[in-house]
Amino acid sequence: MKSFPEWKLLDHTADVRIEVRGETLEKLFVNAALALTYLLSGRRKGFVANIEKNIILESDSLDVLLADWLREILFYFSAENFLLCDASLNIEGVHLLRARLSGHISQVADESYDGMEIKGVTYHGLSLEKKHEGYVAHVIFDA
Amino acid sequence: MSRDKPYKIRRIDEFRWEIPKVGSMRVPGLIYSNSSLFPDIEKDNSCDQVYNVAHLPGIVSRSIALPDIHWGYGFPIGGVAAFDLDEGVISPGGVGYDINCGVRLATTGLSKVDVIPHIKELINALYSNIPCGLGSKGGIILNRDSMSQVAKLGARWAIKQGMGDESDIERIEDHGIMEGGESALISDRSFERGKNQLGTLGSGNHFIEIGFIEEIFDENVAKLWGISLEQVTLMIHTGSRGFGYNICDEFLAKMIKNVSKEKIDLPDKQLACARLNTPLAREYLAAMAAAANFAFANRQIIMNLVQKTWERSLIISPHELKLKLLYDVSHNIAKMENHEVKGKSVKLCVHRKGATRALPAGHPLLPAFFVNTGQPVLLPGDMGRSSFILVGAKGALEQTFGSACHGAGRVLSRNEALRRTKGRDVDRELQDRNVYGKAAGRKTMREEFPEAYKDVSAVAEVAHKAGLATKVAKIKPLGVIKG
Repeated sequence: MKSFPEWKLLDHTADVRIEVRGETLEKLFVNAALALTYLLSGRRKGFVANIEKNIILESDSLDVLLADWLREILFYFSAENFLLCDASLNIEGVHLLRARLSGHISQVADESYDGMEIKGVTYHGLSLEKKHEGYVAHVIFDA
Repeated sequence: MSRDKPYKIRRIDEFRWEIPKVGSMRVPGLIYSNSSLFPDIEKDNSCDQVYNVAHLPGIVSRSIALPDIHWGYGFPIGGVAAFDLDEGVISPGGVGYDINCGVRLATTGLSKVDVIPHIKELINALYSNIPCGLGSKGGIILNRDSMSQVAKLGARWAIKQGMGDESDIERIEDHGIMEGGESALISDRSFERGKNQLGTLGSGNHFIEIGFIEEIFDENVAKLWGISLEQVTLMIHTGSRGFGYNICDEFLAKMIKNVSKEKIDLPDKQLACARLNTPLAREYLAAMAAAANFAFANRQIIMNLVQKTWERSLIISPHELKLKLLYDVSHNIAKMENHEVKGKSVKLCVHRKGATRALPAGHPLLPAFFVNTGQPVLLPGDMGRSSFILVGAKGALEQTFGSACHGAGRVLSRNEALRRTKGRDVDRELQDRNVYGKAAGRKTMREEFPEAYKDVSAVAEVAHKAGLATKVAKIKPLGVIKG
């Protein structure tokens, strides 16, 4: 099972389930997004950021905010070929997220990635909890 | 495992298990399986999902799972649920991200002996000519106007562009058009995710497979459908690509907010829904129909690409190839249909999540060609063993709102499949089974290795013996491309 300090793959019969950790809420969100980058590209590193984006999201709860954040990252990849390299973000107030994304848009025509096609970020089994050592979340992607 | 569950499961007969109604379940659950398949179902959360669906408002009779049931998200894969139009709901998660994912099967005028010597050449040519793999692009580029036409006209749009024959329309579920596809509801984001994906296969378990008829179980139906022993077949499995994924995604997010507003209590957020008599539900249904039409057009276009490639690569004429669509079925969809409930015909919204409609002979929704036989039910198996063609039976209308299974159903996660195939040459193993495979993704062949799936023969047998759909023929694969 694929495992990194920040996240690991868990078994799911049809789809892809991950467990993500972060010392802070912000780190957890960045780690979850980088896990998605890995799933989509099949690589952890080696992409040179060549474009930035700013986004603001607001959701009714923290776990839904996490799903919304990942939906956003997935959309940029699927529609614009924007692969997230890094992000800095703040979660303000109750559930307001402001983020600056650094991403890689390939300059090579038809550059292909060796990851998997993620169709969507599901809400099934979605969880986000504060533990003694930080935050832990579970997300299932339709793949 | 069931020790910690809020429900119990009891076996009713050889092929059916029931989750009796407890707590806030509105109806019982009903699972079709057999002694060999059931232990795998108990290992994951699929029974919990049958139980969860039974809580949805307005669900009628029972929450159903077919013999290919496995753990999905929200609904189980292989799940069927019907809802009352006044009290009930529509749940995008009960349709899935890949709206109108489905399968089409075509027959040819070729025999296996004509194709076996050329199978590598054919599969390589298909792989080169048909865009496949992660986020595959390179199909037809749509602008807003042409996307609206695809969303409205479905397979007919492709035929109008010269991709296919007018007679194909009679061989596609709902004539290849889901009424009500509304382009005004297509967001910029859905357009962006779909605009260059028409005519692309996608990745994961989507495939194009060349096979042959290895065994015939129902000579009469096979003859009427033009199926004969050793005849070469084509099967295509794909759906609405990024266009459908984004429509599901957007409406799920809206419905997550809606359930709080409407105070609908759900055991799983992914079951987020809207009451069928609300504007939100109507908007989703129109957007879903647009995506369904994209998928019908997609499969029509891919079949046309296969035909051209096949003729060119093997240097044969259309007359020799004689590629003829048998049927195209949807297996991720919600439909308004009349079903008999307590002796009365009632219009219901039937969700089929990884389930195929299985109308028996004489049903008014059948195209003329299938009125005397019932509709083909296509059951793709794994890429090494076999697939089945069944025909819809009366029992489906009586027990499962006219539904039967949609495939073998996964039994191993992708991770487990990779673990089991570590160090193995799956391509070579397939070739030892006389199947030539090619995949875009480096790990796809290992993730999709045959034993990652249930034995489709057992799944077909349950459907057959439970009277949902009866076996017509078995297909043995010769070559496959995976995304």
